[in-house]
Amino acid sequence: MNCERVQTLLSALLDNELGAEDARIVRNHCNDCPGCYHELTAVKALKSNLGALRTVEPPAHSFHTVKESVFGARRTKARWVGRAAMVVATACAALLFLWVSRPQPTQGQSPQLAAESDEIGAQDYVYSNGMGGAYQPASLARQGD
Amino acid sequence: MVSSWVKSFTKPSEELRPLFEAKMAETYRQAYNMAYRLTSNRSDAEDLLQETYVRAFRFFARYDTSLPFTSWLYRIMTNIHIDSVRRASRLKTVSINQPQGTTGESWDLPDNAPTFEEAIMSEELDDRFQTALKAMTPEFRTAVVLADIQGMSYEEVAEVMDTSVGTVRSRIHRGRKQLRCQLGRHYPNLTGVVE
Repeated sequence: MNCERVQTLLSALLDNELGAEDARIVRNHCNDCPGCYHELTAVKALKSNLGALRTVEPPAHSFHTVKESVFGARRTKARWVGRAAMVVATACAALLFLWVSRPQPTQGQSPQLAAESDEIGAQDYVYSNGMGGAYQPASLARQGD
Repeated sequence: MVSSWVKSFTKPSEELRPLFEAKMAETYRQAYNMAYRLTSNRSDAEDLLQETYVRAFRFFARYDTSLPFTSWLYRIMTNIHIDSVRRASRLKTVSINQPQGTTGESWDLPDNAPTFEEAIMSEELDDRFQTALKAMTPEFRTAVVLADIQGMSYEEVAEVMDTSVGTVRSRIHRGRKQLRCQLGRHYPNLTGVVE
């Protein structure tokens, strides 16, 4: 293993993330190579310094501010979603109502409607009731009587 | 009927709110430190933290409670951080997968060297490291902060950064090298660490 390869493995060696065999080779190399040994100690010092950095404390009111924005944002979103869902549901209900109450086609008209239309002067026509039979307008029937 | 349907649509996250609040209280201090180390600025850290928790709560129903909450939270945080740095950066992007030295610009990082007066005023080791961290490529900085400051294993870092252990190993190695390079650039007298 040459110096370049060894130096790419120094971090993993220090982090105990290297396999046993590779770790042994890298350690042996560093013992014999002043350049790689210097690199190893420098990376070790860097790691140690980073680990020793203080924990930066959040400002006093930070938690409550963030908490408020988290749940405030959720409430606003939920309200918006609720309103949108309400509008969609109302529109769907209106469309369903219009579809159900749409006008029926003329063919297959009920006898009652036929009789009503007879009242307004359609006496000369004989309407089919849509069930294979025929009937006369009431006025004609009365004449027949 | 409609209102009950609307309630059923918006209710799950509200039901999870007590659990989320508990998780938030438990992790807040550590998460703030992480956000500060990534952003190098208290105000930006708070913004990052706020966006992280807002997004985490929005998707909290998808969180697998058998996994560590911090790993899941940090994944959200690092994604937001890396995205925002990329968006904000007007500088030429350097591929982190390109081997060092092949283009001659791999370490062509923003020169955030403090002025002489600033350097005099911020002589504490912490500030020096933070200045150097700030100048790093976001992916390298994230890997180094997770491993060296948060003390995560490579496997945990890989989980947070949604990448392989091999990539983490490479990012940590190159990140530390970059950090030493930055420390050397800003603080050449810092012996034992700089290149």
